[in-house]
Amino acid sequence: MNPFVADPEWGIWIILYFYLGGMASGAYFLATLVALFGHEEDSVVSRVGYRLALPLIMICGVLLIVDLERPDRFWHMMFQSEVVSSALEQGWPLGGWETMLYAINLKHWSPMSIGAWALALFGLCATLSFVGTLWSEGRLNRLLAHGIVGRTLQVVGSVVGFFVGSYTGVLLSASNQPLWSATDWVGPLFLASSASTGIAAVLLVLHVGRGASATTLERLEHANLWSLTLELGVFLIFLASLLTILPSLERLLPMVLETRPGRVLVIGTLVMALLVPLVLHLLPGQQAWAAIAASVCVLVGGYALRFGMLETAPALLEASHEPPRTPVWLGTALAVALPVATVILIFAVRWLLAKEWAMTVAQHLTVTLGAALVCAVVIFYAFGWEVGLPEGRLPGFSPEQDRERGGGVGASALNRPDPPEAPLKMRSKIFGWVHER
Amino acid sequence: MPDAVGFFTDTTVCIGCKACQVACHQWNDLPAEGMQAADPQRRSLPLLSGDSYDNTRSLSDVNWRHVKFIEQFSADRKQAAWLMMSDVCKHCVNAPCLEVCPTGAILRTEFDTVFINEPACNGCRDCVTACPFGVIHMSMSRGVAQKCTFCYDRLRNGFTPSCAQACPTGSIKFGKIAELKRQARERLAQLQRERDPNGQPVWPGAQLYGEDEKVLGGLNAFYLLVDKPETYGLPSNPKLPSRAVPPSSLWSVLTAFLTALGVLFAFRGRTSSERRGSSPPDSGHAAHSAGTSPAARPTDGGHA
Repeated sequence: MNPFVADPEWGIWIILYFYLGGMASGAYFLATLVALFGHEEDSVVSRVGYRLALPLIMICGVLLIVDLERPDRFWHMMFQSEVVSSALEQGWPLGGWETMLYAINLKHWSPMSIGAWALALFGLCATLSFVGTLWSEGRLNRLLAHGIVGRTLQVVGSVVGFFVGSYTGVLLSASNQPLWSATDWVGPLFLASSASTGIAAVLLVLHVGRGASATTLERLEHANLWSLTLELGVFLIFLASLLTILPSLERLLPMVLETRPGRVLVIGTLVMALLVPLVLHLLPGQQAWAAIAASVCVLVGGYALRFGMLETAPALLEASHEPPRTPVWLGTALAVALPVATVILIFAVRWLLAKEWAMTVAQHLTVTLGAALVCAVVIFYAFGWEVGLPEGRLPGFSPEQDRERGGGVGASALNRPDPPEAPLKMRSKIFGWVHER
Repeated sequence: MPDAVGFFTDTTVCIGCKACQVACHQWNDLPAEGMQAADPQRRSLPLLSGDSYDNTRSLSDVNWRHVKFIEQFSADRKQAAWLMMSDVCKHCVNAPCLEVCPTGAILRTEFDTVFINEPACNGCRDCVTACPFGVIHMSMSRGVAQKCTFCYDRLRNGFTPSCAQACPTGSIKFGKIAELKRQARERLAQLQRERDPNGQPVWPGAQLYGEDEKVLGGLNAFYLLVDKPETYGLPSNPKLPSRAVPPSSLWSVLTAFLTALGVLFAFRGRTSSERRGSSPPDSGHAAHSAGTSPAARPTDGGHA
C-alpha cells in the first residue's frame, strides 16, 4: 500500500453514481435477456427493466456533471477542447470537419475516458428502449423493441450497460490509491452487485405494483438468487485478494477492518447485501414479504458496498499517519479463517440451492464448478499467491507503458495550448496515426 | 525537438531555506496558504503546523514546491539528524496522471515534462487518484488540477525554472537529463567513498531515486537520497494505472457471462408448479422448459 498519495475526495455524488448506474445497467441487462430469451408471460419484467434504466441513468449523468469542479466542461471528457476550438475557428460546421474528427478523445487504456463514451452510448440505448416500451404496438414499438433494429439496440445496450456497471470498479483499480489498486476484483464485484441490485429493483417494483403473475415473480426471485450467489463468490474472492501479503509483510484486510468505512464495506455488504437476502430467498415457501424484504436488503447492501469502497481508501490514508494497531497474528488468523468460512458458506449455499430448487444437471454442474472455483481462488490468494495476469502481459496496451525518456508524447493527447503545427496536420492516436512535427 | 530536461535534487546539500518554494510562489503567482483560510480571523495569521520547521506540510494546489523536514532520532533520543528534501512533481517518463486524464488536459511537452493545460481540465480528479506521489491537488478556487509546470513558460523562453535558479546551494540542479545523470552518478560514487574514522561508510543508505528506469520508466525530477525512499515519503514501487485494466476487465467479463447464465437458468428453467407437474428430474438442457410453459419463443419486450 502506498500511503503517500492524495485523496481525490470522491464523495456522495460518485458513490450515488456508482450505485444508481450499476442498478440501471443491471435492470437493462435483465430486461434484454428476458426480452430475447424469456417467455411471453414474463415480458412485464423487461418492460419494467427498461423503464427503470432510463431515469436512473439520467440521474447518473446529472450526478457526474455536478461532481466536476468545472461542470460546464463536462464535454471535455469526450472531445479535446482545444482542438474543438480550432475547428470552430475554421468555421465548423461549415468547414473544419477534419479537425473536428481529430477532436474525438478516447483513451482505451483509461477507464474514465472510455467510460464516458460507454455512458453516453448506454444513455442513448436506454432512451430508445424506454421509448419502445411506451406503446404496446405501433410502428415505434415494432422498430425499437422488435426486429433487427430493436434487438441490436437491446444487445448493444446490455453490453455497454454492463460495461457501465463494471468499469467504475476498474476505474478505482486503475489508480495508486490504497485498497482500490490492491486488487483486480473491484470491477467484477461491482458488476455482480449491479446485477443483483438491478434485479432486486425490478423485483421490488413488480411485487409492490402487483402487475406480475406468481410464475414471473418466482422466476425473478430465482434470477436474484443466482446473482446473489455469484456476488457472494466474487465478494469472498475480493476479500481473499486483500489477504495477499504486501511487500511490507502486512495484509490489507485487517487494516481495512480497522477503519469505520472498511467495516461497512466488509461486514455491511456481507450481511445486508448477501447473507440476509440469501436466507430470505431460501426460506421455505413463497412469501411476498420475504421477497420484498430481500430486495430492500440487496438495495441497501449495494449502497453499503459502494460507500464502503469509496470511503475506505481515504480512511486508510488517514490511518497510515498513525502507528499500526492491528497485531500481525490477526492477518494470519484471517488468512486461515477466510478459506474455511468460504468452503463452509459456499457449499452450504450450494446444498440449500439444490434442496430448495430442483435444478437440472446443467445447473447443478455450473453451481458445483463455480463453488469449487471460488474455493480454489480464495485458498490461492489467502496463502499468498498472486492470481491474475502477470504484469506486462499485454504489451503496448497503453502508449505510456513502455515509453522511454524523450520518447514522444506517450499517452498525451494533442490537446496543445498552441499546437506546433496547423490543426489539419494533427493526427489522432485513436486511428493509429502519429503526432507529426 | 529540444532535449529532455529535468531536475536532479541532491538532498545532502539541501539546507531547508525554502528559497525554491518562495521563488515558485513568486514566478507562478501562487497565493500564500494562510490567505486561503475560510475563517477571516485566521487569514492574516501565519499558519504554524508544529511539525518541525515545515508549515506548509505537503505539496498542494498552491505549493508546487515543498521542502520536507524529516527528523530522525537515535533510540535513546540523544542524537538527532535532519533530512531535508525539496519535493516537486517528478515529471515521470511513464506518467500515471497523464495516462488516465480523460480530457487530455495533462500533456507531455517538447521538453519531456508533464504539464496541465488548465483551460482543458474539468476537475474530475482522476489524476489525483493516479499520482503515486500525491503531487496533484485540486484548486477549489480555480476548479482545476494544479501542480508544478516545470516552468513551461520559462523553458520556452530559454530560462532556468525559477526554483533551480533560486537554490543557493545547488541542491536543485536543472539541465539536460543525460548531463544530470552523469552528475548524479559522480556524486553518489563520491558519497559512497566517504569513510568515518572507524572505516565505516558515512552514507550507507545513499542511493539515487528515479534516475534509472525502475521507478515509472524513470523520473525527470530525480533524487539523491541517504535513506530508503519511504523515509522521504517516496513509494519504492509505484505502478502505472493501466496495468490493472486487462486483468480486471477479464474477470469482469467472466462475471458478466456467469450473470447472464444465471438469469437464463432462472427464466428458462422450471418453476415450482412445472416441477410438480413433471415427476422425474429431467436431465435435459436447462433451456428446455418442460410442460406448462408456452412455446419457447422469445417474447417481445415491448409489451405485456
